[in-house]
Amino acid sequence: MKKSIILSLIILLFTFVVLSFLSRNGEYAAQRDLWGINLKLKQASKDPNNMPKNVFKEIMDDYDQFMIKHPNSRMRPYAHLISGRVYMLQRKFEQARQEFETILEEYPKETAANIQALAEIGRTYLKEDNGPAIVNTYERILAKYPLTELGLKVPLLRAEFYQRQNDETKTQQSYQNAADHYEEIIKQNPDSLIEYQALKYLGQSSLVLENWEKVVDSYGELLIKYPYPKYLTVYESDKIIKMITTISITKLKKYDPAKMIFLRFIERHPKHPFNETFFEMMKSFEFLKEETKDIE
Amino acid sequence: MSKHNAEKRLFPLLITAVNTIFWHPVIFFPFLLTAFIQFFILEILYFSPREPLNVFFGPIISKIWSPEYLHYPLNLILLPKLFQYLQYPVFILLSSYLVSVSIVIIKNINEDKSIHLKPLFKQTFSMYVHIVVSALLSFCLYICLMYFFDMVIARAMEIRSQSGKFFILKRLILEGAPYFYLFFSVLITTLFAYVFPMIAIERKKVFHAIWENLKLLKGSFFFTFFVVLIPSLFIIPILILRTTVSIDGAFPEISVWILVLSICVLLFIDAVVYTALTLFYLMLREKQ
Repeated sequence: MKKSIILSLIILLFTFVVLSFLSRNGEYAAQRDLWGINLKLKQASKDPNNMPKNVFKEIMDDYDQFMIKHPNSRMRPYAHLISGRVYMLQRKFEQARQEFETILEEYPKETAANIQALAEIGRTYLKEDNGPAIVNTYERILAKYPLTELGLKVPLLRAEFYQRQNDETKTQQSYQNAADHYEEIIKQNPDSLIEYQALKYLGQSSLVLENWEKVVDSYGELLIKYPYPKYLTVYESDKIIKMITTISITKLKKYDPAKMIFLRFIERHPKHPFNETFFEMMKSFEFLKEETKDIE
Repeated sequence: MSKHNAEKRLFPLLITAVNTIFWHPVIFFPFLLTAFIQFFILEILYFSPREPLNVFFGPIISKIWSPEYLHYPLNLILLPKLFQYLQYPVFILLSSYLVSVSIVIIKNINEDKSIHLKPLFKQTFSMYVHIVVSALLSFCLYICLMYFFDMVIARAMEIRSQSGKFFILKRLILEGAPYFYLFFSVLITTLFAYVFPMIAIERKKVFHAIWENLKLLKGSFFFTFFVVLIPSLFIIPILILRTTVSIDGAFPEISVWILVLSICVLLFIDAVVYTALTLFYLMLREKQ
């Protein structure tokens, strides 16, 4: 019995040592090392102004060691991201941008890293309050990666930027451009995650433009086509239903737009748990109609 | 080993079981073998996203789950799930057989016979098919209970209340899920408590053993339930650790260490439970 136990322990130890040795310089090791460096960066980001300088030096030393240890790793662009973020924390924005531009030049095929690099370049200009450069970065993202998560958000971000600048004309124009852009995206990408996000952003843009019919239509379409927890949580769905109902009644002064959406929803999803709520709401609409006639 | 101490008294029986294992550590050997297999599986799964094992495991994990789970530290989220799934065939094909071997060892110790492991393994192997079938049946029952409870969880997720009795019910079901699964596991073990001893000791066929087991349980269901439950409660700290620990912290490998700890704790729980059940069964057998 003792021999069997010792043999078992030897087998376990031997397997562990051999597999550790074989995987010591692989991609997984690079991911683990980079994760550790990123964790230090997160700690430093909590209070960068009060962080001792040697913390940043330590992170950069780890970065240098990573680049030497993993010369062919696919994680190298993400290491550049970390290095750029360290410069950003130290307010060395020009050096930070150089790191981010290196990713765009040397790793053009690494889409995820490129998008993050462009987003960080935008953030450096934001911290420098360089308006034209921020807009230029938005244009770069829109030109290269229009259908990514960030690319889809950029028209809205651009409009929000002008809104913060208190430029009324440009704000209105940007939100209108954003709304038009999203309508085009929706036409070209039906029944997809892209359409889902574009409908959300179209709703948000239309809300600012006070285009109430468009708000109800876009959120209604979102609810009807994507009512599953994968897209909309129960809480988000609740918010959208309340928004559709409130805007229909208070802004459009009609019950019918909300009622049509609920009926279409019930027809498309006959067994959905929301249907009970929709039936009750439509009953309330009928009751209110009787009481007040149409609000108009 | 005092036979009188193993009467229908819960804590004396459990203490006798612990003492029996302590004084006759050979009882522990089959459970150690089970633990070795589990540790080996855990090692392989731990290294599965890395070279060279990712050549084999990479396509499987990518297809069934997502390529994201081949990267650090997300692989450590999938690892406990993979390990759990692999426990099912290990239990049905191996652990059940090894538990039966330990039951035969206890029986031989009870009869003051000398213990030679190789013949005992061979002797128990002759009833392997019956052991595996009974393990499979208990596993199927467990899966049925889990399926039913998953439906309850799905219904609970649809509750939209943010306060009040329905909210409390929702939180109870969602956060109590690991404890409900523990309860189901204890219940199934109780329902099949004496099947392995009957197959391994009496060499009864599986369905006859299940029937006799149910007859025996008729008079001692709650006693047997608590014999299984009390040692099983020692897994609760591990369950609490599992639900409170996050891989976002400084040490994502903590999920692996929790698995290592759970293997060690379950090793002792299983040894005490099956020793106690076997002692009680032998006592009942002697009384007849």
